[in-house]
Amino acid sequence: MKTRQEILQGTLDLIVLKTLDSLGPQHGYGIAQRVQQVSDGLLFLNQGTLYPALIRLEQKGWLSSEYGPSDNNRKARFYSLTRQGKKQLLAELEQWELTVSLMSRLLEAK
Amino acid sequence: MRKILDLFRRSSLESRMNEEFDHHMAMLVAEYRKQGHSEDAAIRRAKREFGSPEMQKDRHREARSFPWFEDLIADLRLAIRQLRLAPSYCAIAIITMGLGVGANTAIFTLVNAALLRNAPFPEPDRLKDLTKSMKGRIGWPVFDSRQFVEFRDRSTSFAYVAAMRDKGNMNWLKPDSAKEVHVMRVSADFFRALGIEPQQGRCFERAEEGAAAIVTHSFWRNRMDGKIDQPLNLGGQVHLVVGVLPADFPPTTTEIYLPLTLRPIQDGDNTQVFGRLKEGVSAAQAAEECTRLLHALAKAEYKNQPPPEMGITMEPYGSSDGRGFKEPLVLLSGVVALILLIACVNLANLMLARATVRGREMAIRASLGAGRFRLARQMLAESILLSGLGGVAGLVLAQAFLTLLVMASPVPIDKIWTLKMDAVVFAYAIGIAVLTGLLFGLVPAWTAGRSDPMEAIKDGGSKASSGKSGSSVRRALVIAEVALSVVLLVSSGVLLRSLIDLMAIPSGADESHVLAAQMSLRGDRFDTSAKATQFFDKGIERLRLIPNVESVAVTSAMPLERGLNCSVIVPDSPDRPEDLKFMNWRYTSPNYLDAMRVPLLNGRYFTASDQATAPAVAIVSDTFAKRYLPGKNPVGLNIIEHCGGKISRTIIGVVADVRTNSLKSKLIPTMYIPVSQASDQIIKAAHTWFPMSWMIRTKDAGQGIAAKIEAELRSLDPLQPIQEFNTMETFRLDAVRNERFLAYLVSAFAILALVLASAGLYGVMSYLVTQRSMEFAIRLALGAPGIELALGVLRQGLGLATLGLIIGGVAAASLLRWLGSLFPSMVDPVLSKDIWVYGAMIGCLILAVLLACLAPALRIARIHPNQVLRES
Repeated sequence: MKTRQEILQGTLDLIVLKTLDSLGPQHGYGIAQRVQQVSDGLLFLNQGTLYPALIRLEQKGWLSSEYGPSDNNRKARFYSLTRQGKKQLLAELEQWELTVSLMSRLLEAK
Repeated sequence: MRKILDLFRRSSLESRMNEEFDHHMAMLVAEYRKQGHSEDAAIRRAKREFGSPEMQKDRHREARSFPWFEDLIADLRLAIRQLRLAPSYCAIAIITMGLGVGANTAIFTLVNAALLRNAPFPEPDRLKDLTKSMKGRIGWPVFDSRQFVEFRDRSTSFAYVAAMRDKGNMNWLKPDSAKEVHVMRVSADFFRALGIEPQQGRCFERAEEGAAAIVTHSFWRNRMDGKIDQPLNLGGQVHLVVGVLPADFPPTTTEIYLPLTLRPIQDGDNTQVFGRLKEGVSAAQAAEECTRLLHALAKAEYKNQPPPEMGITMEPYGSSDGRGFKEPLVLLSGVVALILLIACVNLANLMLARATVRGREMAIRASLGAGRFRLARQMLAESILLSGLGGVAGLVLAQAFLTLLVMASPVPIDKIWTLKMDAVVFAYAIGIAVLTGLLFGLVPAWTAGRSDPMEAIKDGGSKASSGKSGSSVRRALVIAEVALSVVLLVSSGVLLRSLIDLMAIPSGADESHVLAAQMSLRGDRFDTSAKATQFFDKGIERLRLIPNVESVAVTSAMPLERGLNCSVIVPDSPDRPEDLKFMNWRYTSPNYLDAMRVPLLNGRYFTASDQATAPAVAIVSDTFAKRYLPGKNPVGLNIIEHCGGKISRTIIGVVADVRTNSLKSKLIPTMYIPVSQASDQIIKAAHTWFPMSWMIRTKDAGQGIAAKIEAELRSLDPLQPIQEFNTMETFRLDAVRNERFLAYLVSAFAILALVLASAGLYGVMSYLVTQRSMEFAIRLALGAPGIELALGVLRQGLGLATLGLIIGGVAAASLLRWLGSLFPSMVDPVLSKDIWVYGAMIGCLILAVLLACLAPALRIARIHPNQVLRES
């Protein structure tokens, strides 16, 4: 059995924003599935983490949500990026690049 | 902001979470179905994947809004639910708390009114009562006129120094009737010092002689019909009203203020002195200056030097009104604090027991993911909720206690102070309630947070043998409780013993079968010596004829009653013979001292021939002779009585001392004179201030004699009613009324403490027995005799109690020694006399402990091993 990865502190927002950016409007389950798929099942978003995060991001104005029919015709809440959310995504991506390059430089230094 | 809104949108967010979770579950189930699982299996897998929905929701809740606030509300709601499930536990806790808080609040209301609240005058912190105090003792705010004048004229610390005295009743003689009014004499600067301007007219002037008066607003409006120009005839002297006080002048019993005319003499300590400090002068500076003045004056003019450690201290103005109350109030505050402690210990015990019973519940909640802190907080919320309710109950009970207190009090305390439960009192009650709730809620909260879920669940709440957790705390609490009640019981016992001793002090007269018929002879019908003597002679003649009467006499003041304070010059005294000396003055019919069986030490009693026309004579008390004529034979010496007028008298006899209105104070120099030889002026004064007494001694218990006396005196003078009949016993009770009040109150509180402590002990013992029921069942099943197990429990209870008894006994002894040094007049601990008090009180407590342990112990005998073992 593959060991599941804990998500890195502070990256949850980025993951959610990025996923919604590439998928377009999606419901919570879809986001969780997508993350699991892309990570080859290594990253598992706990529901208790995911949904609060969605609500939080919506409260910050980065996401908007509305009801829509899901695959098997259930009513589900679909989340999509707002303009502010897109800006935030770019900012967070930049921050991430910075962190990664910083970390690799630190770790590669002899 | 959004978070705050969320608080109100809580329910909608909550439902949205549920919605999302439902959707997520549905999707998961659909997924597993697609993979070919059966419906059931799919749901099961989905659930496993999803985890506990409640826990997820919990996490989610914490992610948003103010967790602490919502948790607080949630905690309180849960607490309410939990407490409603245990109504009896709740009721006991609230009542316990209510009793503790109620007793404290009632006493605090008194303390607040008497000692804490500022006098309602401008800049009250500059107003100070001057009090004489010995090191570490509470001061007495009384001075003689000479000392007051010294402070007024010499001190530089005060803007004003003022004095007051002679508070009491006078007859207001109107053309058609006489009414009793409350008056007080005040020095010229009295109102200026207080910072009060009369609403009409003016204050007194320095040069004012006795003929002016200032009245209160309500007196002026209600009793003078708003007219200031009518003169007031007070007991024969006409006063012109020169001022009316403003309507908001704090109400006291006094209606009319009269000017205090002072001669700077050593006239006995009967003047209260206060002052308004100058701007920027501290109370300490003023106290130092006055102490210096006091000693300088004494050195220059006084024969009796005050002890060098005597000083003057500054107390807040008005605190001297409560001077007789300060000591009892301090004592009572301590007593009720102990009650509160006992109540708290009980509460902690209750909560602890409950926490243990709920150990399993707590464990389950812990294993479901509730944090240790969270659980502790839950317990705390319950205890705070309980104590808050207890505080409310306490406020209600305090009102009831206060009513009882006012009713039981020997003086009208509700007239002296405005006793109201103001914001300060309210805050105090709720404050102590919540504080104790916090403090004593921490104990069970701490144990709840500490418990190991695995252990608790395994044990299943009923252990095979008593475990250690919590029980050592519980034992300590019981020991503390017993110790506290010992302290209270012993203290009340010693107070009662002091009271009994006080009651047993002989008055100096033979009190057996003595009845006093008291009359108020105010007015002009008996205001001269001749009128009074004639009335008394006729009355004595009639009363003597009543069968069973042994002797009849008349006096202005019975033993244990106060007489008139007067002055006398003793020319043969070795100590400043020309000075006025203080003495207590009483008139009598010639046979009074004989009839009262006051031992004659020297000379002779009065006889019928000591009449108005005969040479003026006097009989003095032993203390009079020893203090003013040491080493001399007083009989045949002349003295000059200064009571109103001057009368030269020859001392014809010395009698033993008779106690006056206080049983414990120093003996007062006393002078007796035949009523026929008294000046009219002093007869009038005596009849204005005090009722006189017909003293009747019967041959036996004197059943039904009162009615006969009343009939005789009525037929002698139908217009002169008898005010009341008193026995010496009632005078005695009256003389010790403050001590009685305190002793009874403390005893009542001690009984309350005993009940609380027994209840606490009972609770703990029955809890311990329940805890060990499995152990007992096994032992019974193995053949142990039930009685032995029961005795074991009794022994355990007694063991705990004994430790408490020892600690409490030692604590009580040292506390009493300390109290004795603090309040020598109230508490008089003499270990040799008190040993039986300790014994009795400890015996009483052991009895209570045994009773409290008996029921739990007996329960063991009723244990059916089979049933208990099967149940677990």
